[in-house]
Amino acid sequence: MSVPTKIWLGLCLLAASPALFAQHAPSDSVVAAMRQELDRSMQDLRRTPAPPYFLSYEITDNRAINVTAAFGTLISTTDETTRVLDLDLRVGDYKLDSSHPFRQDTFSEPMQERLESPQIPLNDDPLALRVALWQSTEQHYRHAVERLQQVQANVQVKVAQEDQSPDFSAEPAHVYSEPIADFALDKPAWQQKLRGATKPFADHKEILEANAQLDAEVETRRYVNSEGSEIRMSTPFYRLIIWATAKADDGMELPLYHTYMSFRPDGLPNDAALSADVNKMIVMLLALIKAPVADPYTGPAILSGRASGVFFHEIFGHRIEGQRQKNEDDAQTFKRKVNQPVLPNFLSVYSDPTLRQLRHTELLGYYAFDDEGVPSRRVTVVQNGVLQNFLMSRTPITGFDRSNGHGRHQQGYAVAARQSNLIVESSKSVSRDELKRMLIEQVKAANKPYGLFFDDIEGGFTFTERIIPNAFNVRPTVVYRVYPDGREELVRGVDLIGTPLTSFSKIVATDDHEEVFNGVCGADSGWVPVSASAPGMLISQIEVQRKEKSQERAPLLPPPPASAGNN
Amino acid sequence: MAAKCRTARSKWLVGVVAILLAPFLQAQSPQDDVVMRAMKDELARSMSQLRLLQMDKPYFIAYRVQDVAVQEITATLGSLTSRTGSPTHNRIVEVELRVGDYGLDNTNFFSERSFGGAAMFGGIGEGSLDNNYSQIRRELWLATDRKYKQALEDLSAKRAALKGRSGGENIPDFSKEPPNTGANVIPEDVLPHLDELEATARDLSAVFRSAPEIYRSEVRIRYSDVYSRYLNSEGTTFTRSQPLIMLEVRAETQAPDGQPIADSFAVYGRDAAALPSTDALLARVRQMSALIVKLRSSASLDRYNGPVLFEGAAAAEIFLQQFGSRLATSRSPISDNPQFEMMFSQMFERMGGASFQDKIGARVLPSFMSVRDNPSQTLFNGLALLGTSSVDDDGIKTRETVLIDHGILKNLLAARVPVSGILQSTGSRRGWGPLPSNLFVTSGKTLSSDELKQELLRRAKERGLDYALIVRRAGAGSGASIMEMARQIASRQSGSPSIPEIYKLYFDGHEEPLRGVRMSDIPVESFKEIVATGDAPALYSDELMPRVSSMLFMGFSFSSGSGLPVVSCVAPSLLFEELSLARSEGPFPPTPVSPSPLAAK
Repeated sequence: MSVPTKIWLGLCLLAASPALFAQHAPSDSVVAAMRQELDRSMQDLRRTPAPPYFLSYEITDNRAINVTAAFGTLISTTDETTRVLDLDLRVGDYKLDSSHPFRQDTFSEPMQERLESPQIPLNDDPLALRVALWQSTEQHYRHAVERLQQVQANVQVKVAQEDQSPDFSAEPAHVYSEPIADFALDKPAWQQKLRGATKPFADHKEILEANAQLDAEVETRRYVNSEGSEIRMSTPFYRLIIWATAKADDGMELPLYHTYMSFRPDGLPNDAALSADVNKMIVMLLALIKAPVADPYTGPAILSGRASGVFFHEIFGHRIEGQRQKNEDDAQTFKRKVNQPVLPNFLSVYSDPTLRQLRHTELLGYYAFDDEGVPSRRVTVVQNGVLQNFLMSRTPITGFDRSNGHGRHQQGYAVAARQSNLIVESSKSVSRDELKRMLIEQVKAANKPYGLFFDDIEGGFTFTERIIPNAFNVRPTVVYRVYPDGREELVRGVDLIGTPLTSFSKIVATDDHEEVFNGVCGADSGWVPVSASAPGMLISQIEVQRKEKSQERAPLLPPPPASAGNN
Repeated sequence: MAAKCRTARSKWLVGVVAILLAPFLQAQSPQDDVVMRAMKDELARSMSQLRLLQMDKPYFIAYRVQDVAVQEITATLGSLTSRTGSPTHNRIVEVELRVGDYGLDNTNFFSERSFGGAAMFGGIGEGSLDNNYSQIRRELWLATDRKYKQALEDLSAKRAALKGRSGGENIPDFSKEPPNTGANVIPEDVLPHLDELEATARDLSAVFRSAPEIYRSEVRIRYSDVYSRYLNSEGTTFTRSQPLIMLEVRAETQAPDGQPIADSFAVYGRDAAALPSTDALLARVRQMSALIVKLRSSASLDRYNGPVLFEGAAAAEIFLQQFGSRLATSRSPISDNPQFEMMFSQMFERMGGASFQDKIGARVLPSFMSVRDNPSQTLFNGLALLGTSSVDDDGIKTRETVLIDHGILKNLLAARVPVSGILQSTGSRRGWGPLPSNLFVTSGKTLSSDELKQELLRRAKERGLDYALIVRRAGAGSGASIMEMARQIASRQSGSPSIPEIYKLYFDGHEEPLRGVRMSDIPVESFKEIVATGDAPALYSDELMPRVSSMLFMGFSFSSGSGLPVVSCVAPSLLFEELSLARSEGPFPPTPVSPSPLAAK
């Protein structure tokens, strides 16, 4: 494991009282305006009967360029600059405040929770910025006072809550400032590049959809709170996704995805590499539509490193997010499992947002501070199979009263504990060939006709479904049958199903081929970049079912001719 | 899908840049346009070959390809709040397809089963910006295929649903219209200078820096240019370029008792030069700002029943709001679920008011008033009319229609969906349904401005009132009011918006502005009781939404491209014999704890 670079720690200043930092505050006129308005608001609101005990402003500047192409032609190019305010104002105290969740199913609650975001001036005119902050503060204050009253009534009326932990954790203040990241992108060059990359798909009538999309953005976040924190972070982010869909004769749609992500524009593939990957995708798509449809199957299987990473992110990662242990509507799979084995003893799991890369692969879940102004840190979640810790935001849970720097959100959403870089390590790894040999052994022992090898999984940008508490459904895109004689055969139409705890107990061994999956994960607090790294895994028993099939026929007419004059 | 995560994020994001030098804006004669050629070839192939087994073939197909360039600028207090380098370019590809025949086809129907499903929107998609023949045909091919399969399903479900019914008038589903090879416009690059628009937005919004009493303010400029190519299987074809620029100023605050006070105005033009000058706009914003500040300390009124004068553009505004969508036909769709069908008819009625369909031949205005729709007039008193076009969105030649003659309703504006008594299109399809273009309200009983006021006071005196009311701006138009409603729901505000500019006129001639006066929905019947009109007609333009139900007839395939159609209305001042007005009721939100930072500067 490579040693993370922690230069930023040196810049990090722990301070006891807000008064201390005035002199260290970064010379950023936006931060200065935020501080000025925050202090004025707190001072004025202190005189009200229900003063806030906490206030934070986060202003996110986002410049995003998006280029989309399909079948060798350009679909769109956008270039947007936005500035969004997120505001957290809390009335009450750390123990019980206006953010306390209601314990009832109200339809209207989520609707009410979303307050209109004001238009934030893009230039750094302090007065215009402060007017926007003032409007929003007043609006949130009124809402918080109203909500606290409802919370107090709700707490009285309902049975005592199982988890008696406070609503918010006190954290030390930090002052930290990153330089504003450079951002450069040659738009015409990328338009040409994506046209070129998607053109080869047009030669195959079986391929109905073929797109390439480049998302390039730089995000600068400024965070100021009433405890004295002042933080500025600036990160560029480049992502290229290629996706294509072919339709088999029986109507089954077969998607294939290829995602590249980097903190640098030159971290994305060059034309030659891109073209090679596209050709591989085409070969795979054409093979898939001719591949036999998989039958329902229960038996041993290997998950590639990428597939294991997604598997762990979905099935394990979301269940160790702190606030889920508090929500009484949640399954709370791991709530009472601390210090107990939850995985085979050769596996350990870390969440490490301080890592920028793992060996030579960049990790997209890197950040210096989380979105509540708490420094990021490595969290050992599972040590030798035993559950140690949860991913914590500033929402405490029983036994875990402080944040460990995992409070994250997408601008416009409330913060929640989320994953960063999830790393699964194994002390029982064998070579890839050896793992396949072990699979065949298991197949023979179980008297199965074949085992399965999950090479790739549709993930990263399809984590759209809300996690269903006690089951999972991961969508593999490239799956092979592995026969006892070692032969591999591509199949299509497989859905991986099962329940989490049983699946984890059936991991038998891993290979030594660790792979990284970079993706964007969507959940309660919006979309956040994450990564998941894991070795390939042999699982003694998995269950697959047939994929839901599209009932749409393939198009009735053949594709139109490529040039005019011959209908 | 990848697109999903971007959309989620771009919820707040407005405005965009495209670096493209708009390939479609380059001069190119419409006939040898690659896009049009691809449309023609794929349409011919689809009409002759598209058929599933022994099922119906399409009897009508229309392709519409719209190149849309949009640019939006917003500013507050002298600062931009969104930045765009150049306009966003999109190409929207739409297919309308009908199976069956003109008498009975797949439209005018919604199935409970497929309602809201992706299939409903299968005929519309985002196309490639490159003028690439094979890619455009590919896009049309797939959209036509989806649309055809959906149409077959809908037609058979509709036939089944109709089997169990009897009675009712047998009205065709689609009107036959002569082919029109209509207007062909070569678009020019008329994009306005971004720098100038940004400067205008900044300058206008900066006016509010000196008004700390105003809590929120915004200037929004939206520029769009839609270049449409249309082709249908009846031989109709047209190309049309429709640029539009809108400038809107909004401001809101609260009175000391918490009552919300909001005001806004919008101006429209075909290009930046058609807008009022920056100086004129600055003066108008200053006036608006001063009035809002004054209104904070103004009185309201409890209740008023009596004569009301709508002066200047307020008359055209109120006429457009109340009559605009009622003057278009509306057909109730049928469904395979009768309960669903009834619920929807009621919902459609509520949105935009009941159509005047059953009022043809009835008196709807006093006998001295007439109304016509004229899509060919381009200017009124030197000001641009925004509904002008030589073809409608079905490619039909537009023409003048007399709607109300001496108070009697004569005709309604129709697209190609017949209703009882109106079986042909009037060339009025705008967006997904029929709408007015430019409405002209004329009167044979006019008074000068002073005479009108005297008449107003005379009538107030007769009723024993101490004063009369004059409305100079009625507030958000009907198109905007739907947005306003959504906004209010989102921001948890209650009550209908107050009239932004209403005054008490006393017998000694002095006026006092009023705040928080609400018009409890003017009944259409009260227009019959208009007793006099002014002699100087004024122009008002606003976005108007075609009836939601119309979407079902057009198969959900029409994208408005760049917002709702804008309708212009020219009307003289209107003196109503009696209207009911009341104060807006609270509870009002509390006022801010801190003063605005502008106050403390």
